[in-house]
Amino acid sequence: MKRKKFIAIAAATAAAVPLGYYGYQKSKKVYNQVNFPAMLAQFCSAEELKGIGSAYLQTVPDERDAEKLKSLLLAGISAQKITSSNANEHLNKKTEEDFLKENVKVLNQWVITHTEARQCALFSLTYK
Amino acid sequence: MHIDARQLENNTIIEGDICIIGAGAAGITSALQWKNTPYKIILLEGGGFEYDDKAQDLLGGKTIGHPYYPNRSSRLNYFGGATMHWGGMCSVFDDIDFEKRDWVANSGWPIQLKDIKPFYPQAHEILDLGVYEWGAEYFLKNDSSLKPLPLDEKIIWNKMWHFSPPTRFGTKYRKEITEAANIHLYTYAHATEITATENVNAITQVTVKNHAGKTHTVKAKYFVMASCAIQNSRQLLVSNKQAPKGLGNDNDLVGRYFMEHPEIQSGELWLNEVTPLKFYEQPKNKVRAELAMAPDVQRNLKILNATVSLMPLQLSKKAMPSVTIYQEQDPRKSMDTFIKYSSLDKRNFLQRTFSKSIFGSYGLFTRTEQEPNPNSRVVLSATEKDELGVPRADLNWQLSHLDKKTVFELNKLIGQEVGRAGIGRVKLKDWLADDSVKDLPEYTSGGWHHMGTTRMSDDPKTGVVDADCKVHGIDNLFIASSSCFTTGGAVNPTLTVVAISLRLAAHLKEKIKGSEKA
Repeated sequence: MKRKKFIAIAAATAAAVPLGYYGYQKSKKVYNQVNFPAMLAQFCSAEELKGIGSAYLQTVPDERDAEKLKSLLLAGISAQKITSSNANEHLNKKTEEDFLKENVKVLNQWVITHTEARQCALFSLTYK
Repeated sequence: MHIDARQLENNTIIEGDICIIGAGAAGITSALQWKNTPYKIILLEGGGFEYDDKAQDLLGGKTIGHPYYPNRSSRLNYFGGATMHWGGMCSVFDDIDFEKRDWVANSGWPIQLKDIKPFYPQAHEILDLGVYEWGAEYFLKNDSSLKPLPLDEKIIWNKMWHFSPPTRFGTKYRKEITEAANIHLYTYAHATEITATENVNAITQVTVKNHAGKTHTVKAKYFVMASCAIQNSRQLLVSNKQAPKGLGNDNDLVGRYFMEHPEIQSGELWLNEVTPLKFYEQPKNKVRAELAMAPDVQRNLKILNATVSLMPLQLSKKAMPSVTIYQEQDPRKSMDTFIKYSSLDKRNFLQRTFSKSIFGSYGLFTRTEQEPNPNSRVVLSATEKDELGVPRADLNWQLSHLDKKTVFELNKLIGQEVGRAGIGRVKLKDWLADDSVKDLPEYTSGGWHHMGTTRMSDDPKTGVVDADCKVHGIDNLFIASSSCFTTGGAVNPTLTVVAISLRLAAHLKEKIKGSEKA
C-alpha cells in the first residue's frame, strides 16, 4: 500500500507541477525530475528512497550537498539548456550507461546504478 | 528373481558374479544393465518392498554441523531408495563443473562432461524425462506462450530442467528386476561389513544382516556400492578389519567433502510490466528454465556454479526454509509435510492472476554448488550403533565463504542484467546484501542431495575412487553414486547419478570381457 500511495502522490505531483507552477522556478521543476529515480520509484516507497539516499551519502559524505548532487547528475547538459524533459532523458541515459558499464551498487538491498543512488541521495536531502 | 533374506537359513552363502549393494536409482540402473547376460547379479536391498520402520531406523545418525534434515528420514531404506520420495527435478551438468578451477578449492574431476554425456540420453529415458532436449531454443520455438526474460545470454542464460513424473524406481522397475532370471534381488539384506583380502587389494565378501537375526555372506567377483553418500562412506569406514582406517581410506578421505546444494530465498525481482513468466514457473509441460551464469562470468568473478528459480513473490513469502520444516525422523511424516507445503498455492485462477503486484514481482530462489570442504564430512559415531550392531553415521555438514559470495554475486548480476534490460529492479535479502555476513545463514537448506564422500580423483591422495569409479588400490570394488562426485555442480544429482551408473556398467562389461579374453 505504501508503494501504491507514493506512486499515486508522485504521479499527481508530476502532473500538478507542470500545471500549477508553469513558468515558475524552472530549477524546482528540474529538481523534481533529478531527485526522482523513475524506475526504482515504481517499487520503493518515499521512505525507502530516502533510506537508499542516506545509505549512499554515508559512503560518500562529500556529496551531502543538494546543489553538488544536482550538478553531478546533470553534468554534460549545458546549464542554460536544462529542462525537465531533457533532464529526465539525460538521467535515463546515464542510468542505462551505468548498467552497461556495470557501475552498480547494492544499497539498502537494492541493486541500483550510481546515478540512481545519487538521485535517491538528492531525494533524501530535498523531499519533505 | 526375488529372495527375502529373512527367510533364508542363517549363514547362507550367496554367490554371484557381481554384487550390487543398494537398490535405489543407481543400484537398480546398474543391475538392469546386466539383464539377460550370462552373469549372475546379486542386488542387495536393506529393506523390503514397502516402508519398514525398523529397516528405516538403520539409517539414523546425528547431524552435528550446519542444520540439516535428520539422517533417518533423508533417505529411504527400501526397494527404490530415495526415488520413492524424490521430487523429480533433473538437469545436466555443465562443462565447467568438471574443470579444475583455481578459485574453487579441491575442484577438478579426472573426467569431463564429454565422458558422461553419452550416457545422458539413456538416463533421460530411465527417468521418463520426455524429449531429449536441453536447449531453451527448442522449447521456445515449440511453445509461443513461453517468453524468456530479455537478458544477455553471454551473462545470464536459461538453463533447462526436466521434471520426472517422478519415476519411482521401486514401482516402475520391480517387475523387470524380479522377473530377470540372472538378477537375484535380496531384500532385507542390509550390508553391514565388507571384507577384503589380507593385503586389501580385493574384496572377498559382504556380510548382510536383518532384524530376523539372520546373517548371510555374499561372495562375488566384483562389488558395486550403490547406496547414498552417507551409507557408502559408512560401509567403507566400518569395514576396518583388514584396513584399520576403513576400506579405501588410507588417505583419510572417506566421508570427507560431503556436499549438498545449499538452497535459499535470495531476493525479489520487481518488473515494471506484468510479465507472465510461465517459462520459469513450475511447469505443466514438464520443463522449466532457471537463470544460470555463463562460465566466463563464473571465471571472472571467481565463484561457483549456481542457478536461480522464480516464484510469484506472494507465494515465495509464504514459503519456509525446507530445513526448518522437514525435521521429522519418520520420512512418512516428512512426505505429509511436503504435500502440505507444496499445496500452499491454493489460489484459484482469478486469485492467481490478480494477487500478483500490478508490476509483477517474483521471489528469487538460489541453488548453488558448494565448495568442496574436507571438514564437511560423515563420521562414525563413537557411541551409537544401530540394531544390527553397526556404528551409526553422523553428518557434519559445513559450508564456506565462497558459497555465500556465489549467491551474492549471482543475484547482484541478475539485478544488473534486469536493470540493463530496462525491465525492473532486484532487491536482495538483507543477509545477502550485508557484506559483514560472510556465510550463508543457518536456515540455508539443502536439496536432500548427498554428494562427495568417496570423491573421484586420479590421485589416491586426493580421491577415493578413480575415473572409472573404482576404489583406489582395490581391484574389484566400484562405487556408483553421487558420493563419487568431485564437485556437485549446480543441479540436482539424480540424472547424473544414473548416467554415472550406466557408464560404470559399460566399463565393467569391457573389463570383464577383457579379463575373459585374457
